[in-house]
Amino acid sequence: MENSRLVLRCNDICMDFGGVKAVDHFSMAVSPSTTTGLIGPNGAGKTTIFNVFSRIYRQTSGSLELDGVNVDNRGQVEVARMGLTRTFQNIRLFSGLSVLDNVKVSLDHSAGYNMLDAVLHLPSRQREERRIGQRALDTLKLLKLDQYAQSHATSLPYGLQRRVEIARALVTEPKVLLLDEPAAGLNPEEVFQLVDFLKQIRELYPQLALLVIEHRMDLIMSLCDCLYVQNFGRTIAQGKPAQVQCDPVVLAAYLGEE
Amino acid sequence: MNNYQLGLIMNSCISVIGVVGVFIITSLAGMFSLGQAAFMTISAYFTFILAKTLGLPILLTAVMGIAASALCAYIIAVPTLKLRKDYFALITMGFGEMMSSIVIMLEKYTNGSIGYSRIPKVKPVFWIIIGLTAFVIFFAWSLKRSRFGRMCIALKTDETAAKSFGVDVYRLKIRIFVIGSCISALAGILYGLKNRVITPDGFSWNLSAEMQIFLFFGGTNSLTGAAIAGFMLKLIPETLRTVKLFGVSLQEFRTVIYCILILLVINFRPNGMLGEKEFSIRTLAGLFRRKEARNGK
Repeated sequence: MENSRLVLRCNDICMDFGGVKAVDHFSMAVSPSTTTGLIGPNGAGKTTIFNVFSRIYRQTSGSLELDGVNVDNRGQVEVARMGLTRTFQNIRLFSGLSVLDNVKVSLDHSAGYNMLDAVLHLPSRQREERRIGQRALDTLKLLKLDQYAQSHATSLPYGLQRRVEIARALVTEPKVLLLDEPAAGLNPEEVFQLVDFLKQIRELYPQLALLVIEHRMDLIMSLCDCLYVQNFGRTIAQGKPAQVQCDPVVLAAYLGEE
Repeated sequence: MNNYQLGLIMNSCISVIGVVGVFIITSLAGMFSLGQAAFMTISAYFTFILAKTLGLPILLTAVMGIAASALCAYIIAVPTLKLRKDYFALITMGFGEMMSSIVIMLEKYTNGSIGYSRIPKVKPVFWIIIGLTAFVIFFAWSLKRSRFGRMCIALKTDETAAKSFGVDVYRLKIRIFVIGSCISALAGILYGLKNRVITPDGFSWNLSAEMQIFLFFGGTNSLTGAAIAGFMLKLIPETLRTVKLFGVSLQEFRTVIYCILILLVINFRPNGMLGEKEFSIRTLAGLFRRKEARNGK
């Protein structure tokens, strides 16, 4: 795989929290149109890796490239605008807003009107509002969520909230989407729907690089092209799902020594 | 209507403008400011002292006064908004106290705690105040329904998540704080125009707290609620002036009454009287429909 095709790349990332090494020399290369899984027991540093990617944390050492650009010194906002979006382990929808408005927030930074236009209701405001409103609605339609557009985001069932959160992240057509335990807290029925939903996304957004943290092996196995297994901050295995599944080191970490 | 009644309405309208200023800062962007009276002080003193000493028209000095408030708000916001929310409240409160002290210290120009009363008469002050109140409410409503309003509500609920979706939280907060302070500044100037005298006591900490109380009472996320509460809660104590309890005018118990109201609201309607509801044709229609449905039963 040649270098220019990589959409996300990190080299030897370390993240310390006062002596605790949450992530220890993690390297990863992600190309577009792939789904990469990140698995490992609790406390393995998976979410920390996501937080470094989305710049909530600054890594202690190592370098991070997004679409060929070094982002070590960029902040959360900049990286988001460059095309890296995410969902959170515990759903973090904006509770005061409707589903449609939640999705619109993702586009708001790119809407081309200023405060004066906003307050005076100038044509540029109406035009841009219509544009982002339409785009948000299109995304909701594409993901079959448009019937909930006017509902209060946090009053929806948990499984739907999860999907709205994914829609909010997808509306900007990002290059990389980080899903942090998308199946957490869902019942088996909802997990089933989620897998379908993610497969749809795979088809609808062919260029997207998808990164998933997950505990449910069925979900990981059916979705991912490539897996990274983390334990105590270190990568203990990586490769194709089938390969990783039989790796004795992985089995030991997951199931305990036999 | 006689002059007294007109005066009451003007007072209430000025209170509405002040509360809307606080609404933008606290309800939209979640910044709990306890020092908005400071910006009223700055603009009011600036406007009227300049108008008197330089002989400039009041419209011009009013713009300068608001600009001075905006500048102060910006200077306060840049370092303070990097802090956690509670420290922001403390620092704005301290700033409010600081402004009152400065006014008293600069007695030579401001006439200290006696109050500055060389304020020119402006006509028709009633319609100016009514017009500006309508304008300010329209302004806040437009802002709330624009992309800025959405981003503000987003950052109020969850700053980290908002940042992850490209909302430049820090910059937006500064802008919102400056805008809200400009509106407070406008209220300060109108207060001066109406009363023809400004004192540091008039813009004390009480006023900042009062505006927060009104806002909270009306609804934590409702512009309609904020405006109604700002108007009514200012008006009601005035009408109680003649009612006596134990030989003391009920108006003296204003703070006690506010406290009781707030306790009731916290207990029974934790999101304020209107919560997140806004006045619109659709809400009215909804109310009507519900009533019909009930009658139908």
